[in-house]
Amino acid sequence: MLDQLTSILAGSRSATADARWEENRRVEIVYKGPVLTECRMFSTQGGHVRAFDGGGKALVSVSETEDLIAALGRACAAARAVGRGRREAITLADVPPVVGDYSIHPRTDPRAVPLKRKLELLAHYNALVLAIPGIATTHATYTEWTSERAFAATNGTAVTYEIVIANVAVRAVARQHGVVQETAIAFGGSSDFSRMEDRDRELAERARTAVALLEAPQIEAGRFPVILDPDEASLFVHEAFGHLSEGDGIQDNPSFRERLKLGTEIAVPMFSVTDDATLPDLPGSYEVDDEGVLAQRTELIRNGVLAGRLHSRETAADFGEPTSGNMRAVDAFHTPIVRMSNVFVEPGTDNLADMFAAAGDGYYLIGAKGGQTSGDQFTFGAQYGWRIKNGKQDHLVRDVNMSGELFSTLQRIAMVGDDLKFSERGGCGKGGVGPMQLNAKSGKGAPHVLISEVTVGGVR
Amino acid sequence: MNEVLAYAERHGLQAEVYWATRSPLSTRYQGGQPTAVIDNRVDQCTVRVVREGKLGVACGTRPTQQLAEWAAQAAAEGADAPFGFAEETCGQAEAADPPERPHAEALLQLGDTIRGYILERRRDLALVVDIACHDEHVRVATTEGFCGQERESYVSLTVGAPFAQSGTGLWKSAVHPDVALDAASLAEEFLEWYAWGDRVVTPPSGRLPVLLAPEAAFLLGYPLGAALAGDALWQRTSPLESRLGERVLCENLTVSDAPLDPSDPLGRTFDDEGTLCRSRALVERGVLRGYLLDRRTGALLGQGSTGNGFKRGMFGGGPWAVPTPWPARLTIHEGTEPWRALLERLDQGLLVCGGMGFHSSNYLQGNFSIQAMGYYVEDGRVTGRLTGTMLAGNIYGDFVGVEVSQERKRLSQFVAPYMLIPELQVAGRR
Repeated sequence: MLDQLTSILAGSRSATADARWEENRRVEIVYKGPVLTECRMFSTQGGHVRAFDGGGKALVSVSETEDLIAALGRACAAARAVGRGRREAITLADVPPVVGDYSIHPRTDPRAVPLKRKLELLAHYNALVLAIPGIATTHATYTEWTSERAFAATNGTAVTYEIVIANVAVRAVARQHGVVQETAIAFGGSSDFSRMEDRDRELAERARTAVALLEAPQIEAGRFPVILDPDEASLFVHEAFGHLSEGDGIQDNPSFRERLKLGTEIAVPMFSVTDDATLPDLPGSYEVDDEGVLAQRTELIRNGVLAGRLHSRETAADFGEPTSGNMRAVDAFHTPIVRMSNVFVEPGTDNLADMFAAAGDGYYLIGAKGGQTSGDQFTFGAQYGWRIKNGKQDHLVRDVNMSGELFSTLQRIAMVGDDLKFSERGGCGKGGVGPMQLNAKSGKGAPHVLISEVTVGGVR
Repeated sequence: MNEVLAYAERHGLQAEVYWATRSPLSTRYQGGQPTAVIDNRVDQCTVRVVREGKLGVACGTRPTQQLAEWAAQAAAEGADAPFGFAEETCGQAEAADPPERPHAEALLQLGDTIRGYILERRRDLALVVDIACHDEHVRVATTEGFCGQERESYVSLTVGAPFAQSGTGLWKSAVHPDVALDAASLAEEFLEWYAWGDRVVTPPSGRLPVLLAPEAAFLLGYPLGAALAGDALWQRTSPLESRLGERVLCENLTVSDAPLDPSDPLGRTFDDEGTLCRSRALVERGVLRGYLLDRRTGALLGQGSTGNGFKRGMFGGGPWAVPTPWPARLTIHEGTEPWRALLERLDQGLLVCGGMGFHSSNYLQGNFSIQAMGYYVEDGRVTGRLTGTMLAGNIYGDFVGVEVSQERKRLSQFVAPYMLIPELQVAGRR
């Protein structure tokens, strides 16, 4: 396929262009309560062409190989039409051509595990949760996604590479007297099937918390000191800061480009954040991105100072900064956009006991439950929390959501723990050029973090 | 599609083919100039088969015999199939062709027009304009005799810009059957609301009245849709289980599923399982009248499908998604008062046009807790843009005495008016 892509691009004459072809496989198994509701097999294919011509850009996706030549022609014509309306031409940062095969070799390759074993594993976890007194129902999924990709560009890049990621996710739903509460846990998140085995203890513990939440009060609205557990702290850094470190997110926002110049003191000195696609076996790990740039480690905040940014070739040229290898697409029907790989808070020196003492009267929030960001404003949920009174863990609270503004919150980080932990499940939705893309290959990590004041939303 | 159905019949299988050809064309302007054109033509296909009572599903690009074979293999390990595929075929299932898809130049021309209109009036904006021509040709066929096709085609226009010195911004959207949409009206509305945001306000904490703009109607529509869905009823997690005929919302609220309005380009005549859609009340003057069932949950609940098996839901979807119960076209009915009269009635309150973090809420139980995007209102006038403001409540407990505007807006997710909620919990200033 790589030869075919290279040959097609040779016909692009003056345009700068690239083309990607994918063969994707996916397995999805779902239990809802005691019932197996889905066992689905995907075998899909598609191609994506980008053309930069006449100062403009156009993107075309197709589902058949024979449509690729016409796609390139359409893309070049549309790019020129875009270019006619622009004040300045879109340019790409130069990168050295990359040639090679970046296939991956998992320890226990999920592709080699029989479907029957996957069904048995999920059935086991599902039954384990359903057997816990107070659990009313479950939603348990096994998801395996593999993608074999070929990418060629007019700069001479010609690579083949793979994505393999599998995970188990279980939602435990407890119900009593009309109150419904749920908790969730996910594990796997890499190319190694064996990481999803022997996880009974932590799964049962998280499910029992859902039952305990039935008796817990709803969180009180107001502004409080909060300790974020590693999962929640990693969600915070992903949502609140990570998205603003993506070059395409602020490219056309002049005031934010000014506020986020590299070298700006943005956070307290103890706070450092890194994005690293080269870490092994994490959800956001990969070797080459979807515009043929090699993956790398990028320091984003070093000791409170903005140190780097995540880029495509286009945004790198626009900002005059180095490329970072962060352009990725969920599939051939979407164009690559700038995405975090494995973004994480570097460990500090504090411990959890000291954080409780320092928090005094606040909350300890546990378990990421989705987040959202718009510029400097962020919102994210927690699966549950503990009220902290007089520096001690007091009682469980439920229905936790909080929000804030990035720049002031980064100045309110009071302590950073020494216990860095990475989440095992990725997942990040981002739009931009084209529709929303839900990227499973998105990793995050953090130690415990104490923030001196956050707005907590609650109905009380 | 015949290849799949013929294979199924040769092997004694029941089969359903869903095949969508999607040809979206879109462009985006950022910083006041076009950045790209996206011009896709892709096929996505799902084949479901039932073999010896077991369901097998395979997803691919086009309906081939190979896909049918994979689905049959998946059925060997598959889930129980308590339902059958659609049988009825109806003339309505073959809708009239919509207008031809425009060329990229037509979209760029519309973009230039609206860019010029807005920047002439407010030059300081980092303006974003998104124009998308959605074009999806859906076909569904079953071995049980259903065969239908439908073209969904409409143009969506979104204008927006970040507020100065802020990453947040204002976004306004409209949908229309073709590119001849009233861009000037949308631009005027955007400019008025954007100007309100020049000043920033954090309101006091406490219980305040809140006027929800149509764009914020998801606070009612999404929890309600989730609670009416067959999955939640079957799993007994819905707060609306076994409550048909009971008052569940305030009497000023009527919510319908209304997919058959011929003027609505987002209407549907059959769902993604080939069941014919119906227009009907879900909640009539606060009283629960109906649920949303697909073929699977309809069978499990012993009621049959209501024509609400869709491959899209609260958080998206697509041709490869599993059909699940969701409204075909959720419509909140209008009231009698102009929305500006409702606004003028607020001595101190919020005008909310969006929010972040809804998906982290316990929405199935009707709860929401969001960072509110919108405006602070004093003495009936907007006095500034919200910042640092959380809004929380429950649609069953807090949407009491709701007043509804006479205007309603057609959005891609639903059709909704403005709704004035007398009291919701606001977390703002200490």
